[in-house]
Amino acid sequence: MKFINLIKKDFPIFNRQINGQPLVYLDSAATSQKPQEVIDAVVDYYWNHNANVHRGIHTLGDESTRLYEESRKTVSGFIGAKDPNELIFVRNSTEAINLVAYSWGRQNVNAGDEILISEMEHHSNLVPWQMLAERQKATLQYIKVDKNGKLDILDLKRKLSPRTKLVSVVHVSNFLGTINPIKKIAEMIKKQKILQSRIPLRGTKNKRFLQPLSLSSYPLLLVDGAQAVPHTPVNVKDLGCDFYAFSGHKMYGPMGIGCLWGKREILKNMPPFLTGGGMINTVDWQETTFTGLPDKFEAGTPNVAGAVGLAAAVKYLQGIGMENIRKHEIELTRHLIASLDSPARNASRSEAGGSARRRLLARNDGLLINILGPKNAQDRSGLVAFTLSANSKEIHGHDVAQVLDSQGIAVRSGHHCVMPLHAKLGLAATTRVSFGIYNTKEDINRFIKALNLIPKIFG
Amino acid sequence: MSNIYHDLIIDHYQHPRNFGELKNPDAVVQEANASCGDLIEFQVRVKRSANREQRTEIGEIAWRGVGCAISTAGASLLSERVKQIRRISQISQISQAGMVELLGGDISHARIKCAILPLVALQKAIRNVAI
Ligand SMILES: Cc1ncc(COP(=O)(O)O)c(C=O)c1O
Repeated sequence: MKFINLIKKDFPIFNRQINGQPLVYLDSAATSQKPQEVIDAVVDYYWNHNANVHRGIHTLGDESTRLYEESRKTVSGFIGAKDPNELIFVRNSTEAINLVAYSWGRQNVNAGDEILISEMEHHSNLVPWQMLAERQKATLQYIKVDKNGKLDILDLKRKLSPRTKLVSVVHVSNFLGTINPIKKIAEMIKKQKILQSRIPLRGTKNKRFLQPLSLSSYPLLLVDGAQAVPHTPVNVKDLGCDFYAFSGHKMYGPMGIGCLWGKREILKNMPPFLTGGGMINTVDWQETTFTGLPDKFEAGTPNVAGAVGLAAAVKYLQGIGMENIRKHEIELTRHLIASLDSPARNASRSEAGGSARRRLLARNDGLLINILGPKNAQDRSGLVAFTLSANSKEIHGHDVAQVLDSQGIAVRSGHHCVMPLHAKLGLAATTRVSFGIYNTKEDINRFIKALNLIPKIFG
Repeated sequence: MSNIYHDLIIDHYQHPRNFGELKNPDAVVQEANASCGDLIEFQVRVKRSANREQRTEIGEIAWRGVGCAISTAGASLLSERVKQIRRISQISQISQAGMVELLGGDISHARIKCAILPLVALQKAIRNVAI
């Protein structure tokens, strides 16, 4: 593995000074910074190859098309997909999930059906299902989050029913950092499918029908992988899901490019999402036939430069190795939690309100820090959200972020697009530190030092 | 350190003025800033006068809520301002720029929403009593 201090050099943004200090970027969960290789790939595309895809006969059109399809191969291979055509290029995770909600959802979810998501979903894996449920008169149910910030698997088991058409869960929570056991969830869903296949249709007298003719096709499993793909090895075949959504900009690629992976058989039977050019076979005045995968879902001119940049990001990540990245981020997370913890000689511990509050760390410097999410760095991804009190007064996340910014440190504050869970935990606005491959222990030390300014300012 | 948390703001943040509730308010308006989780409530009571036409001034004002240092200090400073000018017609003319000025002028673009929240709540309350 490259030395971590060398990795920082791959990212030109770290030449920036923010408020007179070298930038410490601790907001990679919102979007990651981009290495020179990705920027170069995008520039090279526009300098040397730019042309529309799938349309022209000319040389540039051919080059552009090839670059686009090679990018699809690179990215689909990276997440363990067998067939590159199972990977649809979209703008981001949000669009990927909406594609499924509009196309598959309207075709498959009917009145009385259930959609099962979790309480820790990002709004982009919540609002589309709310809208779909409302439109189709289906119900939206939530798998509970337990007080350690983990998914309540027994609650999932309880809520799976013959009416469940879809389970949609986040792979890694962007707020709690929790890594969800997707494989286990996929196995539970498979059991449910087997069980369902044996349920006789209502009014069937003949017991022979109890034998399944084929496995039930519901429920399907969608995984929101926006926070997983950049930080840990992901293999969609191994996970056993049906759809997997992720964003390029969180994995060191450009903004405006993201992916939906889906099983070929399922994608094939879905109607198009957006319609227009680039996705048709024939059009006459009254009727249109559509092309196959993946073009059926990529109406209009695609973001070729984005796809090329994303492929460059994938190659960059492969050069470092996802296992190494995961190890590095566990180390950083451990150091962060320990640093927030260490001056706590007279620590007062409390499990307030049965919430996901892990502990209250009373530090001898007047700071009281409440870390959210699972206890163990192994169980979580490289991000930590917390609330903070200085001299017994809770300090708003925006004020924390503003003080840190004055020291050149970028963190996120607010509800992180997980409003219902913030409300359930009785939280208004939290502060979140999230890591990328370029972060170092030195970054964390500077963050902790800046945090100590807070009691001085608001004391 | 940027000057956003200067003495005036810290003072009003730590010792908010006119914080609380009124006994018989003429208007109570809550305003939330969903993206921050902030909530500010203004309560106003119009100065009594026999002739309804002459009820043109604020007699009492109070506010409460949860928020960051900027929205908290902003609500406090704004309530003080109302007590100086009193006239409803004038209060309704306080602009967003005026609000930023009240806070000392050094509000970054990202925090404008925090600064404006109390003003929005107050002016809604004023509209409710003006009818
Ligand atoms: C878990 C999770 N899902 C979905 C999204 C949405 O990603 P995008 O804004 O790229 O669509 C995010 C981004 O913050 C996220 O963290």
